[in-house]
Amino acid sequence: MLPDRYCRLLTAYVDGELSSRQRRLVVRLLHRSAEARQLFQQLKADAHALRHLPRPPLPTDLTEPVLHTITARNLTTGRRRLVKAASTSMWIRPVASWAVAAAVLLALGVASYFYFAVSLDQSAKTEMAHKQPELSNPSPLSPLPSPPTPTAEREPQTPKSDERIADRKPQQAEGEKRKAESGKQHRNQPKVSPADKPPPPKEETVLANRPEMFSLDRVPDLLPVVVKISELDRVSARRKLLDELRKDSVFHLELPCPNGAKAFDRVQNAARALHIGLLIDKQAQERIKLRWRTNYVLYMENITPEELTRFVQQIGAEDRKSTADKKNVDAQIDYLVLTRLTAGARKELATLLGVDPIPMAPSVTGPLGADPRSSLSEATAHPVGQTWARQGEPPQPEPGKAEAKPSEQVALVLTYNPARPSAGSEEIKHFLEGRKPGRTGALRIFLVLRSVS
Amino acid sequence: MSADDQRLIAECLQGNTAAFGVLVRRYQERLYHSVYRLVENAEDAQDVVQEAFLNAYQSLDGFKGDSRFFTWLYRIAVNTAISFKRKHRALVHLETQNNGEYALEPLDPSAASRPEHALEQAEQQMRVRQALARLSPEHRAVLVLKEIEGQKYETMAEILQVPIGTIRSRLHRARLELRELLEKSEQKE
Repeated sequence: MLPDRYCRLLTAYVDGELSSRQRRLVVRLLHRSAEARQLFQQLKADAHALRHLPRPPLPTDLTEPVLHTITARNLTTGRRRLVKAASTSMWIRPVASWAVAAAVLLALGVASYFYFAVSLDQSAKTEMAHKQPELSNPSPLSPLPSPPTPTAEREPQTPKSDERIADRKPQQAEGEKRKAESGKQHRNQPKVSPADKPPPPKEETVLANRPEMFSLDRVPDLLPVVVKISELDRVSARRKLLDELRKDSVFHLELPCPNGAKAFDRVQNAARALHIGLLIDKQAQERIKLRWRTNYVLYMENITPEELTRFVQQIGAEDRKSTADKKNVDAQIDYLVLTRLTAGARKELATLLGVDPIPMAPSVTGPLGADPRSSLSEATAHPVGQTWARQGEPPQPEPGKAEAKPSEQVALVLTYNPARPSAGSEEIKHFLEGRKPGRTGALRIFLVLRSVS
Repeated sequence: MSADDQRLIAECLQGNTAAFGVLVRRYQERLYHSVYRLVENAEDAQDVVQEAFLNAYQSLDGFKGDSRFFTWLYRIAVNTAISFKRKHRALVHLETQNNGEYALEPLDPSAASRPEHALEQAEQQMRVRQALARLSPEHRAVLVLKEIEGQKYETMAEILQVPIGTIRSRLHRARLELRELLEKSEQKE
């Protein structure tokens, strides 16, 4: 075994970082020690193997994402300390939410304890009240009830089969009836015959106060996926969201926000940045103008998972842009909750639109007279264009410059809460008439901007 | 530091973000290669490199020009990668377990002329990669800096912000640990 001092010299020799005196020493060592020669050869081979590991190519050019993030987060050179300070305050939020969750659990635990304690106490009192008359006024004709054996006591407490639990309600009702009869008898008839004597109270009275049993059913994979929007700047987070979006073709998205009106500004800016047209229902337009606190719904079709991811990312970017350097402006959108469209949500969507937009049967015309298969006609394009013009988008081309390419994507914006859109509104009708045949892998999304306090 | 890097940094500090884009394009490939060896996953490596560039951008006014820009950038990337590995130490990527890297990185086509050589080389590379992945982030970093980046002790000390003596002893321990792991994997076969 080589001494550690020699091993160190050998590793440094492999690194090529020895003085001339040390090198001479190592050469002498290698000359006289076979073990040193072997170790040196091995270390050299390892270094060679490391140097010749394949160089993986960079899968994508990072220039664009880096510059985009700089713009989106409004980063500047020399703001590192500020960012650090901000990030320190950011951890308080998850800690606070954990604390709230713990407090809620504790409250639930305490409430359950008191609930069951009171219930059990009441049943015990009922039982005592039932026994007491018998003990205080023992009938000369009826013998004293024999104390229940430990077995008899234990037996009813342990339900042996499901039948016992299933039958507990009729038994309880029967018990109550008997108790009432027994009370009556005690009041009116001091002497009770053994035949009329109420049966001893059963433990099922206690059982009946236990929480109702329920069976677990298998449910479809509808668990929501929660995505932190700020993390969408990361490739891995985007990939995860994309993977989720590729699992189905219709999704229900929720963007919880403190104020739906403010959050809608961010969505509108994001849509403008990505050239997504917003076809806003008249009622929604009024509420947006008045900046009333409202929950909004966006319904989109023919949007690919990549486009949707980009849209959500842009919403986050717009939110950060609005809050950057403004002390009085709160962040509106932190998380995206993604679920596959449930039957309930689909029904809700159908109610809002006045037609179920999900199935696209070939020869079916919707109740509003819209053919879902028809492409965007001139007649439709015109009112859509007018609506855009009313909202100031898309921007009018400057004189002398080429006209901007019209948007491919259109999102229908409706109010959701507290006001609902009027059934068969002009905007809904135009949207449905302007539907295009779906692209491969494209999605339909029902996005809700929900104000949460 | 090259005059061109200096000019681009000056432009960045004046608010020209596009100049930073040139720096990203210039160094991203080299940075990615080293970071990839530190985190062993393509997506994570991209995230770490992206994060390193963003951190560098925000600290750009703190860059005094005492060292090369790449060394400074490399320091940020290595530190980001090490802290990333510490955070994700418990996670084991399927890619590493399945040696899926081979599917992504084809071997040198010239080796196809000697199939058995190619096979031996692939096996050896796999063993080295697995052994490297089992080292601590600090040991892995010194080996990557020395063997893959070909850095001197002095530069390594500057990047990792530790004394040269620490670099020397870390490298010594890392080499011996790597050797031990390789011997074990050879014995298994």
